[in-house]
Amino acid sequence: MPIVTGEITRDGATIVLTVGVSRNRQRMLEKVGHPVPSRITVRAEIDTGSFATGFMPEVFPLLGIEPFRDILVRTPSTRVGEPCRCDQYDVSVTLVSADTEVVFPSVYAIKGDFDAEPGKVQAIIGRDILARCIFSYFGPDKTFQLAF
Amino acid sequence: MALEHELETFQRELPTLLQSEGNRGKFALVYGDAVSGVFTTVDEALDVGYELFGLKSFLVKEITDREESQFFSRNVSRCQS
Repeated sequence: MPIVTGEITRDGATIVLTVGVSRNRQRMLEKVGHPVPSRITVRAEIDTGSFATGFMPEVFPLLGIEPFRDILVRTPSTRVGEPCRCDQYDVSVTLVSADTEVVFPSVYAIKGDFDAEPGKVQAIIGRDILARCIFSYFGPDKTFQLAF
Repeated sequence: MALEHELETFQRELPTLLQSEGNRGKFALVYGDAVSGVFTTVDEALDVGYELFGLKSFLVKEITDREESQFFSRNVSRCQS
């Protein structure tokens, strides 16, 4: 399994990944001769507290995609017993370790409130992706490893 | 929201879909005024949705009368109860 090792910063365990259109959508775009939007590079925090992966809002119009469903979520600002509705988008996520790329061809992502500024946390990797990885958090050493 | 029309269709068809016990917990594929199929997983519904509708927007929605919420650790851009 490819492994990424990183330092735990004040933003937590973060890695750089790319997000693109899903493999299904890429196939459809190619079939009709439309250009496939370039993958977007973002800095993402590994977040075991979140059920799903999420990205800054700017990602979705750049990829030219619309949501495929809405779901009920609880967030830090929703009241107990009062979840809210949010959209989910079908995207692909690519994790990179040295010269190895691992593509998750269909990830159901949420548009979250993130800062688009480079260097800031622009996304989170939730348990949907982590379910296919091994995540080790070495608190005393202030390091982490993600194998995928 | 982009899928307003499909959401209306789903809400209209939900009571009928729920009448078949085997549909509960599965996922409906909705385009325009019609439910195009019922699938065991979201992945399956998406695969068929892309095959049938290509780049057009379509809806995939769980067939349930008790939608469960899950925790997302950031605030979301569209939030309505």
